[in-house]
Amino acid sequence: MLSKIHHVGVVVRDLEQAYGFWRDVLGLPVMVVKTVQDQDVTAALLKVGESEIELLQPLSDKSGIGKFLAKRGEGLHHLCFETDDVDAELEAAKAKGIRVIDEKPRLGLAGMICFLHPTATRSVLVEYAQPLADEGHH
Amino acid sequence: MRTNRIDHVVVATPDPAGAQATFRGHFELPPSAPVAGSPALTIGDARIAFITPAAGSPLAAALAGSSEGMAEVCLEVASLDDAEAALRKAGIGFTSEPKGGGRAIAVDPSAAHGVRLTLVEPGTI
Repeated sequence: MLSKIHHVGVVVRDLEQAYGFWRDVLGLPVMVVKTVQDQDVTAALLKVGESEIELLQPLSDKSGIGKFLAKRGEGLHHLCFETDDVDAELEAAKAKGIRVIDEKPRLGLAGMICFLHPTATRSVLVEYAQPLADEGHH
Repeated sequence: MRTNRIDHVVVATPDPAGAQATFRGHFELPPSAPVAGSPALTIGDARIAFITPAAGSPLAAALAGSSEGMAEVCLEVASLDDAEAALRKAGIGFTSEPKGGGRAIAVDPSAAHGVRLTLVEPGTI
């Protein structure tokens, strides 16, 4: 069952510069910052109510996020729903015939995650995330 | 500025009812009251609204040439007056626009890293 918006992903050119707006002007606290090496991205999660804004800074122009930035510039990237069972949610999506990007959940910044294909969801890139048990801020 | 929560996310689409049905079927989310007259779904304490952008509107611009997609995030703030003051102090441009019987602030997307970002007070929409 999907319980809430876990986060909205935003691609930015520079995290430190982005904090100047999202953290300092909007007042959203930075909860976690991590570099995901295999995706060439550094990401920060900023809390807003029961959800978060995920700022994504590519570390190379060859990564998926880097290509997005080069092609479309900074902006909205994806919408992530939280679930308490990402395996079941992904299997349910596949059973409905929903095209997926990840055949199996994998470890991401928000916990165990997977992406659906945007052609199945009105061009919205949708992620499912099951936070890890020790991530109390989720 | 005190920002409370995500009020709603906008999926811009030429087919709001169809897109709502797609998301409802895929994600099994219950319908919510319309957002600014457009169909919407509930997810946690937020909503997803399906809106057809008017030609030449900021929402249409946010689609960057696509016909559909996520195009806006609307955050609930404690006070629009405080939000305006914080934006002015930071030198960030914004416009005030009517929304759902109240008003919203639309932040200059260039300051919000390409995001069409609107701010509303509780109970506006």
